[in-house]
Formats: sequence, C-alpha cells, structure tokens
Amino acid sequence: MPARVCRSLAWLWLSLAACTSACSPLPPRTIQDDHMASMVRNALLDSRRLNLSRIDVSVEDGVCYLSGEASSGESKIEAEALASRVPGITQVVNKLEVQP
Amino acid sequence: MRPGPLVLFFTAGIVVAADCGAAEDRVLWQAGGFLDLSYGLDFNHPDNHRWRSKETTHRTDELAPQMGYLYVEKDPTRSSRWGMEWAFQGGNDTTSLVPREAPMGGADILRHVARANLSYLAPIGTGLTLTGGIFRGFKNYESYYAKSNYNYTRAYLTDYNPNFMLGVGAEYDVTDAMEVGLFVVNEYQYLAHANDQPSYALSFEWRASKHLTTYQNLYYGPDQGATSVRFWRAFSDSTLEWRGEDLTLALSYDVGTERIADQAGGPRAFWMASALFSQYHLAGPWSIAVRPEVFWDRNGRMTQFQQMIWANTATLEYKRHVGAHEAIVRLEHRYDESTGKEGGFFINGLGRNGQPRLTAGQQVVWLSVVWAFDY
Repeated sequence: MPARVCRSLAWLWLSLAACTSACSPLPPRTIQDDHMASMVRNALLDSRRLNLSRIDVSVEDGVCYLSGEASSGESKIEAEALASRVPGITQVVNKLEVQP
Repeated sequence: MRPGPLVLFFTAGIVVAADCGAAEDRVLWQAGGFLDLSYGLDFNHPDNHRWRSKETTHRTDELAPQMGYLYVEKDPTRSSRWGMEWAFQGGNDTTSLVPREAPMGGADILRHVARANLSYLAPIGTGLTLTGGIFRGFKNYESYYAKSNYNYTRAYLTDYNPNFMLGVGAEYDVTDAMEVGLFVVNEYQYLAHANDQPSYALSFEWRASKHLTTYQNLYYGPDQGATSVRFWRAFSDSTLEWRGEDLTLALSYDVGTERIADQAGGPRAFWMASALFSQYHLAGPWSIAVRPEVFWDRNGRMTQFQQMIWANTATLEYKRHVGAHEAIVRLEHRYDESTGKEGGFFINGLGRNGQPRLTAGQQVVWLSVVWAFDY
C-alpha cells in the first residue's frame, strides 16, 4: 500500500480515536433509551400527518433528539409534541429542518 | 450575476425577521451547519483520483472536505406566515453543480448558495405555501447531503436528479396525508442557462397507510438551445417507502428522455435508474444500510458515457448527539461495475493512447465523519 495512503489512513484513525475518547464521558445508551426511541417512532408512525414517518429519532439518557426533515412548520411542532408525551422523555431537542 | 436580486432577498429577510410574533417562533427559527469529511480507499488507485461518472464524492484516495454547510431558516406557520431560508455551502461536492454545458453567468459563485428563498403560507384552504428563489429540488428519497442519508455515498440516481431548483413554486396540503406541488423553474440543472424559457415540475406525496408512503416527481421543459416542444426533456422520479420501527425500505425508479437537438435527425436519448434503500436500526447509536442500484445511460446524456452501471453499497453507521451537536461516523463498502460501449472506471496507469486506463469494476471503502450542529 503506498506510503501516502498509509499516512492518510493513520491520520484518519487517529482523528477517530480522538473523537471517540472525547465522547467517552458521555452517558452510555441504555436499553430504556432504545425502548423510548421505539415508542417515539411508533408515535410518529401513528400520526396521520405526512412525512412524520421520515424523521430520525434518537434517545440518549432520556433526551430525545429529532433530526431530519419535516414537510412544514406545523409538522415540526407536532413531532416535538408527540415525542414529549412519551413516558420517560425528559427533554426534546428538535433539529428538524423544514424543506419548503 | 447582478446583485439586485440578492439585495432584494436580504431586505425581504429582514422583513420576515420583523414578522416574529408568537413564542412558538422560537421553535421555528433555526440555524446550524455541518462539515462532511471523508476518505475513500479506491482499490483501483487511479492516478487522477477520480471516480468516473460520479457527481458527489468524486475524489478518492485522498482526505477530502466533501461539504461544509451553514444555514439559517424561519419556517412559515399559521401564526407567522412568512418564512425564509439562507444556506451557503462549499467543498468538493459543489463543483459538479456548475453545468458542463451552458452554465449561467456567475454559476461558479452561485454553486455556493444552497438556499436563498422566501416563502409565504397563504390562508387558502388548509394552507398554500408559496416559495421563490433557490430551494430544494425534488423531494427524492436520498438527499444531496450525506448527513441526511442512510448511506454515505449517494446513488447515481441521486446525483443526476434535480437536487436544487431556481424559480417559484406552490405546495398545498390536500389532506394531512397528501401534498401536491407545482413549480416553474429555470432548468433541470438549476445553474444552467441554455435558453430563456421556463420549465415545469410537479410533486405529489401520499401517506397511504401507517407504514406506506409514495412520492412522485415529474419534470417537463426545454434544456437545450432549441426550445421547440419536440426537444423538451421529460423526467419522472417515483418512490415507494415502507417504514417500521427499526427497518425502513424504499424503492425508487427514475426515467428520463429528450431528443438531442444538435445531432442530425434529433435522436432520442434515454436514461433509467433504480435503487433500493434500506436501513435497519441495530441498537443504540448503531445502524446498518444496504443499497443495491442500477443506472442505465443509454446515450451518455447524463454521465457523458454510454454505459450501464450497477452497484451495491453497505454502510455501518454510528450516530451520537452532544447537546446541539451531532457526530455521524460511517464505514462503507461499495462495489460498482460499469459495462457498455463507453463504460469503465479509472485505474492506475496510462493506456496506449496516453489516456488513463479503464476497468469494469471498482471497489471503494469509505470512512466518513459528519459533524453537525443545529440551534
């Protein structure tokens, strides 16, 4: 393998290691987090509103992160409201981008 | 490009900002960005580092800033009806946004403007959203930006879709589960200027059931100097999505055609593509995605080469949030094969004619990091 490639790969792996180390103080994802994320996804699927089904849901230590795209401002607000009603969710961080 | 329209948009943006009213507007203002860095290890090791026929992630065997993106947006709602979007971008993935043929004046600068639009939610029926400026193109299943997708590299189908539009549009929620849109736009490639005639696009989305959604986009208009209807381009993009709690499947199919005006007899060009998107959430921050695809460019109208490409992409994703920040790390394997009269991918070394050698298969392993922040 060319030396140039080896150097680039080594740089990349070092960066990844540094990033992982920086993230290590984060609380571990728990089974309860996964269960709550599933409940939020189900709540969004159950909603009749268009495109709430395409939202990415992640729960870490009780905090629900919504990311991806919503079709309208109302959809974005409704997604946050649905997520906040799931038992165990302490906070909703709404990062949905509305794409007109 | 004349500065007048940009000044107008900035001024209108100030007006939109002044329209802020209810507390919920806090939710509707959003700003942020992301940085997309990656390294693609190409086992062909082409001397020119080029991924032939690819519009995004087209540099391999080098650490590349594929995309940097900053945005601010205000979403229109019933309580605050004006909206706006401003976004700026840079990186390798913006270079292919400048059309090879008939780019408009200032295209090399405008490729850095990802969004510049105003929108208004008119009190008509359930709400008619009017938008003008530079806005997102077809709502096809995969985004132009890797941040939003299941896989890191984009499908050829995504690369050759109208990912950006310049013009005006209207979207209407027929019901909570159905939306239609009509757009009058510049051209298929938003930074092209082959003629002065507008083109037309139609979009339709329908949430048929809890798990099933269908998307349909249509384009029709002149994309050549000859503007006779005989030479107009017709394009269709269709997607059917099934989404469960942890598994999502989506099948997309594209077909396009137009008569080539500058060739004798005006022969008909034809291209077709299909991709199956899938993602399974394993546990916690881990997901896997697999995407087989095919792209047939019968006349070389899209990729510049008459070829049939099939590919398979497998991606392992780790996604983690840190407050307003988000890190997405992906390890991806991709195999592409190109056949046909002008098919092939670059491989190291030169051929007898002094040009880079070509080979049918290409295998690339990607490691990517996307760091995003949203406030």
